[in-house]
Amino acid sequence: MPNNSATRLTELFNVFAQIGLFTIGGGAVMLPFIQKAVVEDKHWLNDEEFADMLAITNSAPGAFTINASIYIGYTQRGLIGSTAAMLGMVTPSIVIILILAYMILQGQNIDWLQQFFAGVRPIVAALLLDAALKLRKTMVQSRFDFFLLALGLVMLLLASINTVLVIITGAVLGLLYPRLKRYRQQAAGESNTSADKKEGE
Amino acid sequence: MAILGQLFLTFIFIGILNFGGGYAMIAFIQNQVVDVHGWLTVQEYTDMLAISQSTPGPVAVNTATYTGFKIGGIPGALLATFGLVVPAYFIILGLMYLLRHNPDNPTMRQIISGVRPMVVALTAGSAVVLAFENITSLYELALFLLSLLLLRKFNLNPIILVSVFGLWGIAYANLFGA
Repeated sequence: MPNNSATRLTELFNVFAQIGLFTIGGGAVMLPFIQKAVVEDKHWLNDEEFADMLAITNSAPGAFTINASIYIGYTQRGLIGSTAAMLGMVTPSIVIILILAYMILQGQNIDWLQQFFAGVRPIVAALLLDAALKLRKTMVQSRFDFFLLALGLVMLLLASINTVLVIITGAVLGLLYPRLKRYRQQAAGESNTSADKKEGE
Repeated sequence: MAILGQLFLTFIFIGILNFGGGYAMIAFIQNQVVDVHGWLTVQEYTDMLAISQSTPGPVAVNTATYTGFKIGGIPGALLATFGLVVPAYFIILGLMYLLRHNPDNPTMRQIISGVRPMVVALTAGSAVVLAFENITSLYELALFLLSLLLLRKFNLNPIILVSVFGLWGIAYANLFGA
């Protein structure tokens, strides 16, 4: 049973509330924030566990960030931990959207918000690039991994293939690769033994 | 009352069937909220998207909160948002249960090992797409390069980075009247 009682529920809530408060655009944009807080600062997950978490939360339906908060919360304090982390993640969004929806309906000026995000938008790409480079260290090591990464990028950027299909392709090739390798080794083994036989004759 | 129940069920449905998260979700939510239920017009949906993309938090959550608020006030906002989250709970905890009880299952390890590099591709791919979308002037390119330097060289906390660049955005607009 996952239970890291050293991690307090308020701490889980606060860390995810900060992530929820400071990330615009959702999805992948939050990844560098989660990585920094969960792996580098709090050491709740190591690189290897973080990589597993990403593979699972990206393969499941739903918003990646919600999935990640549920997963990470669970590793620390079980069901109640996942609830604390998930509530932390959604609370800032709910509060901000409600305030803005109210202000917009009242006809108030929200230019400052647009200005704030005009400054933030160009750096989002840098945050993601930094996260991808950090992830590459643990998640892409073998030549097969590099092949998958390249294939994924081509599918996404050149062929505009849906992200779901990219994940499924990774899963299917991950299953096929060891079988293909074994088959080739067997084939090589058989051709060796048949060659031995011929020599023996 | 009936509309609140429908709102809750619709966002549960969106939560279950929305694979790919984020941007893949936008078209699917539009279909449900605009075409199927007629809760928002296309114009309202577009305005809402602009708001949810320029406010913090997951886009799907922002969309659910905004749509729910428009349809059913604060109870509507809360019901739509929690409807979206409920399926994720069952699915993620179910997958974690499978992983924890079969940590060495070769099939599971092979699937995960194939998915991992694809997650890096999704992240790098998003970086490229967002760079093309959001870097359209030399000024924005300068902001991008400066932030990349701060991240790679000094491992600066993203929260500090966002705060500083956001405040700079307000200062820049007011000083230079952009």
